[in-house]
Amino acid sequence: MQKIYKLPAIIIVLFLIVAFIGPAFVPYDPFSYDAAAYLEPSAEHWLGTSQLGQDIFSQLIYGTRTSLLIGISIAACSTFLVVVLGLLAGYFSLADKVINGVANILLVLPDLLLILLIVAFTGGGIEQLIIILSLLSWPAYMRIVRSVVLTLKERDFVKASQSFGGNHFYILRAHILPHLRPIVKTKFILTCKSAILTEAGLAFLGLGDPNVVSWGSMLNVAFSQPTIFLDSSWVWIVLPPVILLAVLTLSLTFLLEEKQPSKVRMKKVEIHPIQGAEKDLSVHQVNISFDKKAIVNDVSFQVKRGEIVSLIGPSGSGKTTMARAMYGLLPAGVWSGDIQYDGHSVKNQDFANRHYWKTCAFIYQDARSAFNPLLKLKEQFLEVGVTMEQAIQAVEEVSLSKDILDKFPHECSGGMLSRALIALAFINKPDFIIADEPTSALDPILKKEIVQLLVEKVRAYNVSLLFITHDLDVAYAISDRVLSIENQHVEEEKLCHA
Amino acid sequence: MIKKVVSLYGFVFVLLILLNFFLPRLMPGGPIEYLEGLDSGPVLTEEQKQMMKEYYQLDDSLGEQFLNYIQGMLTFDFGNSFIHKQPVTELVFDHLPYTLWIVGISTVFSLALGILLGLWSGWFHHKHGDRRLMLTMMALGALPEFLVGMILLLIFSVYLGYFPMSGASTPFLNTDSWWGVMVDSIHHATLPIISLTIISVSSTYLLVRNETIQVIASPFIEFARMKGIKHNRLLYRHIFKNALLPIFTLMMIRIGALFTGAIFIEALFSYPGIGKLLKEAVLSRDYPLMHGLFFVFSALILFFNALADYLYPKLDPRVKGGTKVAKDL
Repeated sequence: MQKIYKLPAIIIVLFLIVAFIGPAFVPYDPFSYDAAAYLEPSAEHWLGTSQLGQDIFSQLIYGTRTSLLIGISIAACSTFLVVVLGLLAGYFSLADKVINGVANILLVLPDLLLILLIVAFTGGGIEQLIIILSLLSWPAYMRIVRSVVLTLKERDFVKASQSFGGNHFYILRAHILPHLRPIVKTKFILTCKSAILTEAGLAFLGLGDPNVVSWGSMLNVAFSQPTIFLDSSWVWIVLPPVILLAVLTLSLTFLLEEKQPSKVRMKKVEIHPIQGAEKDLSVHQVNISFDKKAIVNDVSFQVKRGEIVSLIGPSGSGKTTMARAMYGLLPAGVWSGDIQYDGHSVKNQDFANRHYWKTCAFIYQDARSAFNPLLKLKEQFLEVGVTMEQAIQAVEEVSLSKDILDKFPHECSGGMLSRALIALAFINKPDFIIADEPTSALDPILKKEIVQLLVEKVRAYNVSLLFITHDLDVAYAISDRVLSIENQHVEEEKLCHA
Repeated sequence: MIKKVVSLYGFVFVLLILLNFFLPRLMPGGPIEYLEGLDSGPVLTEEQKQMMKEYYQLDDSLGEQFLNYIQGMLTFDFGNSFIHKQPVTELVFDHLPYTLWIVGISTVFSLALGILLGLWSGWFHHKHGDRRLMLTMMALGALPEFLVGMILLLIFSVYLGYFPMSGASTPFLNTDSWWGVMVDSIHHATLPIISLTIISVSSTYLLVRNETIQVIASPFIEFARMKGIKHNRLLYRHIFKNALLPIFTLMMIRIGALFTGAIFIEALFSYPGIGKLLKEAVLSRDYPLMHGLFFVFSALILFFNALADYLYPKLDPRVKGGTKVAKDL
C-alpha cells in the first residue's frame, strides 16, 4: 500500500525521460507525411498513421516534449513571479499596494476568455502562451507568499537580523526564502498541470501553435475527421493522446498526496459488573491517556442518588476529559476501566441511544457554543422528545419567557442561554447530570444566579449532580462531597460544614 | 461592500471591452494584413476584406471608431457575422438557450450529487469509503473538460453506441409528437450534461466534505450527540444546514466556470450552443461575432463571480446578530 504513493513520482520521471531523450530515438519526423493515410499499426508504424500519413507514435513522443516543455516553463516563470512579487509585497509596504491591486484585477479576469481573445488576434505561438499564462497565474499564490512574509517579518530572528544591520536582500534570501519551500513546490506542480491542460485544450480547439506537435493538436486533427469513429482507427489515433494526457494529469495531481497515518484499531469491549454500585454512578479504575501521556490514573469514585459531588482541580488537570469520559464520549482506545450508570456501562454500544437525556444529561461548558446557531431553540428543545407544553413549562421554570423558544441562539444573551441549557438538562427528569464548568463563561453575578438555579432544581428533582469546576468557593458551598483531581489522581477533600 | 465589488468587477469588464477594441487595431498593419499573413488563419476573399474594412471602419479616426464601438455595445448591436451572414445579436439569442440548458441542468445535478456525496463522505470521515471516494473525486476534478467529455464520448457513443456523437437533434427526425422531439433532444444533451456535471461535482463535493468534517467537530454537534438525537436527525437538521452555508458562493463560481467549460464540451460534441459558436468565430476570425460573444461570456462569468463575492458574507445569520449580542454582554 505504501508503494502506491510513489507511483505518481515514478510516472512523472518516466515522462521526463521520454520528453528529454525520446525524440532522438523516434523513427520518423512528426511532420513528414511520406506514409499513406490511416495505416493500421504495424512494425514500421507502431500506432499507425494519421489522415495526413504522419506517424502517430512519433507525434506522441514529440507531443510529450511539447507538453512538458510548456508545463515546466510556465510553472517556472509563474513560480518565479510568485516568489519575487510575494516577497516584495510582503516586505515593502509601498510595493504591496501596486502588486496587490494588480493581483485583485487578475484574479477577477476570466483567464480562458482573455487567452482566447489574445490568441485570436495574435496567432497563438507557444512563446505567447507561455508569457500570457505566466503573467495570469501568479496572483493566488503571491497572496499566500505575501501573508507568510508578513508574519515572518515580525518574528524575532528577522528583527534581530535587521538590528544587526543585515540588508534587505540578505534578510529576504537567508531568513525568509527557506520558509517558502513547501508553497513553492505546490505552486510549481499545480501550475505545471494547469499549463499543460490549457495548452492541450487550446490546441484541441484548433488554437494551438501550428508549428509544434502536441497531444491537443493531434486530438484536434482526429476530431475534425469523424470518419475515424466508423471503424476502429480511433483506437490508435484518439486513445493514445487521451490516455497520456489523463495519466500525466493524474500523476501531477497525486504527486502532492501523501499516505495518511494509519488508524487506531478498535479494541474489543469487555464489561464486568461493578460490585455494590447497581444504583449509582460509578467510576471504576479508570485510566485515560492521550498519545501515551497519562491524563488520569486508576480513578474510582461513586456519586450516589440525590448527591451533589464537585470535581475540582487546576486547569489542565483533566477535569473536562474526565467529564467527557464519564459521559461515554471518549473513544475506546484512549481509556480503560469502566463507568456505569445504575449498572449500565457507557461502553455498551447502545448506551447513547438508551440513556442519553433519559438516565443522564449533560450541561455543556459554554452555553453559547452548545446550541446549534442555525436552529431555533424550540427545535433544539423538542428534538429530545418532549411536547411543546413541556418545553414551555421547562423554560418558565427557569424564569425565562416562553418567547425565547422562537429565537435563534444569537438573539439571546449568555445568561438566557445558560438558563435555557439548565432547563433543557432537566426536561426529561434524568437521574444523573454532569455539569462541565457551566459557569466559567459567566460574569460573577450571573454565575451566582445560575448556580443557585442549578442546586434548586437538583434538590427539587432528587437528581445526582457531578459538578465540575475550578471555582473552589462554589464547589464547597453547594456540594455534599468534593473530589479533587491532581497529579492524575482523584482524592476526596475533607469538608467541614460551618 | 457592494460598492467595492461593483467597482472591481466593473473595472475588469471595462478592461476586457477595451482589450477587445484595441487588440485587433494595435496589431501591426491592422486586422486585415495581420490575417493575410497568418498561416493558420483562413484565406480572405475580396468580399470578406471589404466587409472587414467596413466593420472596422478603418478609414475613420480611432476616436470615431471607438465611439461607434461603444455605441454598438450599448445598443447590443454588434453588426453582422461574416460567416453566418446574420446579425450577431440574433445568432447569440438563437444559440444561447442550448448553452443555458446544459449548463443549468448540470449545475443542478452536480450540486445535488456533490452535496450528497460530500455529506456522506464527511459523516464517514476516517472510514475507508471516504478516502476512496475523495481520491476518486480529486481525480475527476483534476481532469479537464474536454478530456472527460472525450472519454465519455469514446466509451458511450463510439464503443457502446448508446448516445449520438454530436449535435443537439437528429436531422430529419421522423416524428411529429413533441414527446419524440423532447426525447431526441434529451438523448443528444445527455453526454454533454454528464461531462459538465462530472467536472463540476468534485469541487462541490470537496467543499461540502470539508465543511461537514468541520461542523461535526464543532461543540454544538457534540452537544447534540449528547442529547441522544437519532443519527438521521443529527445529519439532516444539524450538520446539513451548517455545512451548506458556503455552498451558495461556490455555486455561483461554478456556474461561471461551467460557461467556460461549455466552450470545450460544445466544441467536442458539436453542440450548437454559444460555446461552439465562439470556437468557430475565433477559428475563422469572425470578428463581429467574436465581439458579441466575448461581451456575453464576460458579462455572464463576471456577473456570477461578482454575485458570489457580494453574497459571501451575507449568508450566515450569525453575522447579522453577532454585533447585537456583543452589545448585550
